[in-house]
Amino acid sequence: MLKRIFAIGALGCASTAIAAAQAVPPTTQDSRLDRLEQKLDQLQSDVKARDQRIEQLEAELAKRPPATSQPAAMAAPPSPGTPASSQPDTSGLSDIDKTTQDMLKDIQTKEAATPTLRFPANFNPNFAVIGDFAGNVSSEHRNPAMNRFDLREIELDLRAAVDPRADAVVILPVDRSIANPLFFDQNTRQNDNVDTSISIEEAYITLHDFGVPNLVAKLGRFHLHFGRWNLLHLHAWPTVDNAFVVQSFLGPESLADSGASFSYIVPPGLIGGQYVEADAEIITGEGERDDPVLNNGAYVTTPGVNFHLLWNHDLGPDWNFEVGGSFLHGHHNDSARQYANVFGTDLTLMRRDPTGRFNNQFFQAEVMYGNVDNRAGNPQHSAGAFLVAQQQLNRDWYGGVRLDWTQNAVNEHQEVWGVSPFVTWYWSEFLMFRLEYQHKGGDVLNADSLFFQCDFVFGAHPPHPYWSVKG
Amino acid sequence: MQKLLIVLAIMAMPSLAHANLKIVTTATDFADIARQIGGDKVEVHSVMKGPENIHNVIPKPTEMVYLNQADLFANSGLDAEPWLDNLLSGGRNSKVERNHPGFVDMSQGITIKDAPTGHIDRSMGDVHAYGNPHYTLNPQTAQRMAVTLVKAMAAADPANAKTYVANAQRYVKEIGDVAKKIRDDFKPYEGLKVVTFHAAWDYFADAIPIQIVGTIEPKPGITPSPAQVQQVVDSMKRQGVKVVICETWDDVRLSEYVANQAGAKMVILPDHVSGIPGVDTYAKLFQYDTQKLIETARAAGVQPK
Repeated sequence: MLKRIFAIGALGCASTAIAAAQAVPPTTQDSRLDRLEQKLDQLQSDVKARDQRIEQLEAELAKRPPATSQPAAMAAPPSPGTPASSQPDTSGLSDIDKTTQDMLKDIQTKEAATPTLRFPANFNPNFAVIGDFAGNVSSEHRNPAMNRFDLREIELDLRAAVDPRADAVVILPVDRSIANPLFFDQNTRQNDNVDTSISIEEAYITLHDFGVPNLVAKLGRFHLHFGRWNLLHLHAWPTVDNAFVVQSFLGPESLADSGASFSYIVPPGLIGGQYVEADAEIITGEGERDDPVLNNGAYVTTPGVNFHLLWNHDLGPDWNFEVGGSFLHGHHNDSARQYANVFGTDLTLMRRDPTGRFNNQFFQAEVMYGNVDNRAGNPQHSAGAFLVAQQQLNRDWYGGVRLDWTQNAVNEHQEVWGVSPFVTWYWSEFLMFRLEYQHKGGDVLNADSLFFQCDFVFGAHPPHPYWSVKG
Repeated sequence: MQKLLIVLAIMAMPSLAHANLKIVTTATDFADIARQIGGDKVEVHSVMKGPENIHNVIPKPTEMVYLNQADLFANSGLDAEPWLDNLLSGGRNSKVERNHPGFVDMSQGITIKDAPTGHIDRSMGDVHAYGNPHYTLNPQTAQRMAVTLVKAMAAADPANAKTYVANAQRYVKEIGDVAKKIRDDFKPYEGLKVVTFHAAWDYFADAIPIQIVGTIEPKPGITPSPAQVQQVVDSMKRQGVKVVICETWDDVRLSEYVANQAGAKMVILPDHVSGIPGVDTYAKLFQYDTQKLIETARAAGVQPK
């Protein structure tokens, strides 16, 4: 097109020249006019040839396949040496040579390339909303928590850096459900009120760089690092309901409290490259009213403490093994004379598919032993355990089973056991459905239940435990 | 006894003097570049092993041991690794945290495709907020990544900077030659129409002239319904697509089914270094993928031009 304009411009100039030539004497005029006519003919012929060439090139271009079916690459700000990302020019290969030359030149400079264009999200935290909807059909007809649907929880998960050396996490659940005690007594009237509440499940800052290598500190309210399962939120459990032993010793969902938590990784260089993590936590020792052991409510005069030590080790390129030990000390009920000591061991064995095709296996077990005064000087020596095994079937499907047995942490004469096979189907990382059958027996009404669960997430990718691919 | 201790101390000294630059990478591709540039002066560990989907890597706590001792942490810089933050917080190594020199964003200077410009939500699937993160599948972006990494390596280990720069220069030339070779090799099949399982090959389509007409996944990370699978088959038949590319980690059976229904051939291609045994360098990855694609096109009856 540009060439056409030049040609027209040239013709215009020629016309002006012709007009000027008319002002000179006739003899010289004739010869000059002849020359100008010749030049004009030449220009017209050049323009015609170029027009033909342009048409030919346009036709060739139309015959070429489009670059890709995908939208065109976003135009990032130009930077030195940005590789060309258009459809390759098979005729010249010059873009490859150009990129190579640009890169070789750029190696000599110390300036970094232009960072990838990010959408402005200045100072906004990572934000996720996680919804958990569950229902069940059960032979426990007299339990008001059964045979119903519940939007058990909507959880607001906010995470952000608050300082170069500190991050913050705030997790605010809105719960709506009926209390479902593990040792349900059908002869005692249960509270069948639907409990709707907003609470602070976790809110803490993590100081991850305050001068002591390998040590991080958490200040605020958090899930205690007692075993592995207690760290999980409801939507991250591999099963619909909580492991019985966790319910019996720690809480209906988990044991969370306010305080300070210190976590130290023993320098791997000192211990042959092993991963050993030691945690020490000092908490108010309040727990929640619903919690079985630490349930002091506003009782804060004597703090509780929790310790956890874990060793994680690769058994081969694909197998990973972890063993941990926990100890929790606090007070039971609103009394400084009722002690609560809980000991725990957790084991996790995981295999990840070396082919990347999702044939992953996961086994986890926890054992707890409690020495809890249910009144002053009357310790209850109770124990419990669970084992969960999960097989990933393909990208979207998981199957597994959980086996439970536990005594009541505050009544050593009561026990309950259960078998709970489950299957989980992820439509995506952000939408999950689960079915779980459970048979329960022991010193409770033998019951068969079928649980259904649907979890959904919108917002940022929620963090999940290392042994879980999704969730 | 004293003499023995002195001898032992002297023996220990050289190992301290030759402490290597420790580099941890999220992907095997970055690890290969680091090895090519660093040679015997670096210790490189990749969290990803190769065949798996980078998005679904399971980072074991033992990976944190490597990160704990790392001088550099090379990663996609985008949101391809949703497990990265857990790994970083577990690593307890401030040298490699975000906004520190040891945190190497390998996407620097690379034009990222398909970055959403308007409203985004999960109706778009597991959409990546910063655009398509599979930028490693192009030799020219590998050249850029080599430049990004060598600058970080030279800054972290000035004593060996000259070696790194020299190796990077050699590597950039080598990969440039690979880029030319695969494009030349593929020239007879220029414009080959393909369907891929996941939108992982858009950058590869810049390296060799293939035309990606669609994906089996209706949206990133979303398994298609039977109706959506049929739509892909119908579309392939209409457009004469003869090749289906399935990543090493994706649903081979479904890809095979789609290919069979559409009268096409399916090929499993690694989209990362070490995606399959033997393809353990970037150069081998591009050559393998190109050759396999040519073989599949031939097997599907596509005539060379």
